[in-house]
Amino acid sequence: MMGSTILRYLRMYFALVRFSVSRALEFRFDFFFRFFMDLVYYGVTIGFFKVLYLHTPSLGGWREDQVLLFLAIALIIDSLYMTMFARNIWQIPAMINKGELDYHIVRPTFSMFFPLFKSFELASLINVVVGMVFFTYAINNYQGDLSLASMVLCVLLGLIGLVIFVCLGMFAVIPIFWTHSNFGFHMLFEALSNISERPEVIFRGLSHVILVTVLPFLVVTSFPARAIFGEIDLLNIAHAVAVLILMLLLLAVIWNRGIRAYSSASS
Amino acid sequence: MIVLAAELKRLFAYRVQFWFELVVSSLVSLGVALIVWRAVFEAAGDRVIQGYTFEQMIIYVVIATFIGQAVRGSGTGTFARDIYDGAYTRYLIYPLSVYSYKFATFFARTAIAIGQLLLVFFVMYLFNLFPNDSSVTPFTVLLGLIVVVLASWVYFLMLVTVESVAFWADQAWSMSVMMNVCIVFFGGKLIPVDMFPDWLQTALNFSPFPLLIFAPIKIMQGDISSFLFVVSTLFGWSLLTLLVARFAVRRGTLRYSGVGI
Repeated sequence: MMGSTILRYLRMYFALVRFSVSRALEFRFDFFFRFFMDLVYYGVTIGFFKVLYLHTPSLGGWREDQVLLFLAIALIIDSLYMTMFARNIWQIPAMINKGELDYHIVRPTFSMFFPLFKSFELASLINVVVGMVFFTYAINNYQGDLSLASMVLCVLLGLIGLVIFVCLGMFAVIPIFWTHSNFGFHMLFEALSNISERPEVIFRGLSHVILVTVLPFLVVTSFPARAIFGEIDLLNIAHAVAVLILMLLLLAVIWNRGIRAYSSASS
Repeated sequence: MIVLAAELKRLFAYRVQFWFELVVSSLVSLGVALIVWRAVFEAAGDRVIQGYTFEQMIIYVVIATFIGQAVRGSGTGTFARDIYDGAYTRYLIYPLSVYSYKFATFFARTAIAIGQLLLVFFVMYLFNLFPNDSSVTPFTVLLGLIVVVLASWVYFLMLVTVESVAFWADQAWSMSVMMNVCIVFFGGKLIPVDMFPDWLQTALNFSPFPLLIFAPIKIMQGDISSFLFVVSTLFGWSLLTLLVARFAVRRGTLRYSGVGI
């Protein structure tokens, strides 16, 4: 029963991906520039740290090769987010305000499924490959010890980080159910999400506590990097899993409350 | 002025949006930037990096946060959106200049960011938070603001040029976002331009980027000797970008079709 449900959702998801890919190839100009836009953004992010390391030997104890590896992980997570979720999450406020959510909540699926998965960005998927290439370069330049176990742990924590990031993105748009205002929270999320591109080790005291618990942006990217550096213990892994579970539960509760508060005169 | 006043009224009307977008977001960016620079100065162990003490860097980051917003006004997308949804027709029918109307709405955010910066300066002055070696004075701030207004005009024209691609292409926002990212980095919002490697600084001298954010900050920080050069170069860039923008918009208008206003 559970297996067939998962298969049904997977089939639907791949149908949505096929549709998005054919649409992306229709608008080639946009496809091309979207790819370059992400590339420029990643270039600037790397350039920022390259310039900083011209003036300092380390940041919070992390060498340049460590920060490059951290950035590679951050870029892969970001490009996966951009590929699978970003556009969908950006469109949710308009969907709610225009009453277009009607089309999705009357379908015999989980009400969040279509709003969260309907668009798939092919151009950003190419940037996942770019991120992988950069990761390979960063791994080659990494001066510490590497092990298969640490790499596997990095991938697992990266996936956990991605889901946490999606939850945080959703928290930024769900208030629209009640506020009906479009971009205020979303802009705040944009500002906060930059934190995930900064190494955890530079944050201290209260800011660090907040950014690994209430607003766990540091868990998203720094924990996977720390796994590779061998700077993570069982307690950290349990912490990441606990944050993930709490975020998912909170998302389900708030979304369902939002759906109950939702009204429209559309469709 | 009427359009500017109406836009300001609109921005203040959505209070939650105003606080999150313009105040809390600015404070978050500012806080993160300060944490990064604290880490850099601690790790470097030097009191001065490339001519900046930590206190001077704090002032730089504070000014950069608000000037970065001021110069970029209402941000990307509004001109392209008008073209896509047909609202551009109103500039063709009404006795209304698209440049003056759009710039007035664009400038409302600039005005708010300038107001925020002045407020921050006032608070810093009130609590004596300016470092002893700071050269920020009301006069340097005034000169810096003149440059900011001119820089926001140049940025606006660059934006119109890039977004006029919407006359030809189905999506143009990625191009304007790309331009925005370049201006934030190469303009010096994240890192002062004089900390870039020499070859990059030389290359950037041939672009308007450092004039948009870095130059007004340096003037506010007391480097008023460059004021005339910056203003005259910005005038030059504004003429060039105006010519390019007008050409692009005129050619694009010939292709434009829209229903309703």
